[in-house]
Amino acid sequence: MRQVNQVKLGEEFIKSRAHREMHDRCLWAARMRRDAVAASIPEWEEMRELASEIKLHTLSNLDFYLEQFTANAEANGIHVHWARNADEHNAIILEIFKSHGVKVVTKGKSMTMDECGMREFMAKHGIEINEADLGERIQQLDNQRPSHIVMPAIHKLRSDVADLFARKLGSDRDIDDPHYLNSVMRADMRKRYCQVDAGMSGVNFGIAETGGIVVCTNEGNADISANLPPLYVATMGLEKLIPRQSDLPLFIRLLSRSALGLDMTQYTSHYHHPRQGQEMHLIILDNGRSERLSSPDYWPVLKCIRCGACMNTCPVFRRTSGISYDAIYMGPIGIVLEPSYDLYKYARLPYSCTHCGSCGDVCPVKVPIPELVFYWRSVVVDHNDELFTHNAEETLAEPILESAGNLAKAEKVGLWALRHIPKSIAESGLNPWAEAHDDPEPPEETFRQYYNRVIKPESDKDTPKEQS
Amino acid sequence: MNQQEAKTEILARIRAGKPALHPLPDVPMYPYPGNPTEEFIRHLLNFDGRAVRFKNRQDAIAWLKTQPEMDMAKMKVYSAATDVEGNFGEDQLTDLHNAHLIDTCVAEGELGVGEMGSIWVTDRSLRHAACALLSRRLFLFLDSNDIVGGLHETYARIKLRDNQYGSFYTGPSATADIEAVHITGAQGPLSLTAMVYNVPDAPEPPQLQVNPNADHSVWQ
Repeated sequence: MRQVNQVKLGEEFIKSRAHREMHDRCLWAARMRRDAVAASIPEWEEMRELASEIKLHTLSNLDFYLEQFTANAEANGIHVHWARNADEHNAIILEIFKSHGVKVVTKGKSMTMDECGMREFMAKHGIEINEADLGERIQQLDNQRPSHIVMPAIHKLRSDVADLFARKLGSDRDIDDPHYLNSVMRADMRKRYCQVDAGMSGVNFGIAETGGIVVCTNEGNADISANLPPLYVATMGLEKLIPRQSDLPLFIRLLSRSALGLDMTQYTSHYHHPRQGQEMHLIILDNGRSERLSSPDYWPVLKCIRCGACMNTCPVFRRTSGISYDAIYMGPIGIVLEPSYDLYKYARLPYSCTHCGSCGDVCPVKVPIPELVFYWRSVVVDHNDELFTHNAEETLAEPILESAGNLAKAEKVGLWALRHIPKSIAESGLNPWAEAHDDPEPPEETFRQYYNRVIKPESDKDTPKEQS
Repeated sequence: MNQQEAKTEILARIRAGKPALHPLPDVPMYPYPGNPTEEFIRHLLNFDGRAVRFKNRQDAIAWLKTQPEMDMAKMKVYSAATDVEGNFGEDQLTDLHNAHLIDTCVAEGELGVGEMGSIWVTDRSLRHAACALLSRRLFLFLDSNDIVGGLHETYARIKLRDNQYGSFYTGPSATADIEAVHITGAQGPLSLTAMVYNVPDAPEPPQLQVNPNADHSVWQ
């Protein structure tokens, strides 16, 4: 199988300046809104710690809460199913759909269903699944994966969407006003809602104490999917539980503020029973989660509530877009999640990180993403022979980086080169770095020389081992 | 496929591999400062919702009847609210898909949240959630005495399990999926109007409060 090369795919995105700048601007704006709204809540940092602790507790007692949740949900009249993996998940839903003669479905966003390839599977069985979230629908019509957890088409310009809708929905190609494009989508979806046999959605939270699920959206698409047809099917990753109703406001207060910097999702909806005359099914999905739980270094990854805050702040993600990760989960959380699904395919992803640590700072449930990046790199290094993650530059750099003495020599050579190699060569086409950067003015000395002269404590100066 | 077998195996794997028990902290009842009604309206307007304050419920009903959205000659109106008549009846909703024909939906809000400008509605207060979701304009009554400051206190007043469907509606449906441009009227209603009554200092005559920067889509 092919190994995903995020650097290469990212380069393709970076080539288009209009896309790159729009993407960076939109995500950074979300990050800034998040900061402003977080600062307006005095207990914000305390809430993050509490949310993290509640998640750690739930995960450490997950068998109990899953049983409690299931007993309560079943008493509420919800049909609960268990799926060990994606195949079982899809087979369960197909069986439900077949027994109800389902042909057309509208679906709210669900990363968990995407993880199972549910839509493609249903298409093979003649069941039409219509994504009802605008961004998700754009990506479905374009045969492309979502590029962001909560803004699935944020890497596309309005003109891309105008072109797509013109081809697929017969709209006017020359009008790229997002309001118009939204109305095209709305009109098209209305036609579909009128004939829909079943609705589907993901789950943001399952409450063990009450046996109900919580689904958060802004467009109202998941609510329509759940409240209109006679059949509603939802999928929940088994880590989505929280113990008590009184824990929920904490998470709701963190979720949308972290995701988009908004105080609330427009529709924060709780389902505890099927409607009169409706059947409601919930599939609890494992698909590797129980295995992740058993890894002493890795299990905190299961705290993630899928808000996307880590993506909005990540300097790599903002410039390269979620498409470049070629994965279900992208950005910081993606680079630490995807290798657990397929280590070979995603072995390079943990290297798409600058170690700025910002993802860990904004995460509302304190998933230690920066530490998990190192965890995965160490796993990859342990498997290095099979995974071929090194590129030529890394191989060349290895003798320099593996000894402090060699590195010190290389620094001096670098400074000499900066002083003596003419710009016509240093900034020629041979050096792609120079496409967007000027070389700095050469300093008087290397940093190491400066450090040894000015900063290094006297007591350490007796050990000149790595001194230049 | 054997569901029981899958359940047993998943739970067994979790039991065998789960980490040592972490303690469960209590969640404090964090209050939200300020006057709940004022905060509610301020936040609702931020979400492009509209608000009107009334001294009492009768005033709210009288105002609603004067609105163009309630013009029975032109509009299909569904009402789940007491004392407000619509012209779209239950007999037309034997097939819920017909809810998309509704222009205006009127219902009771059960609680308001100052912190977010959200309105708690349930399958009881909406009767058919589909009508509130598929109509073009949504009007919700809200007693100012039912507006709570913070979200923690709000949840403390709700028994989630007693409701088939319960939701916090916060402004009209919206999207920002194309270049993060904020647009109201995504899949659900194009507008949401909260009629807040039992507000002693409500202006006379009633004033419709809107966000001057709200999205007024030219396309719908």
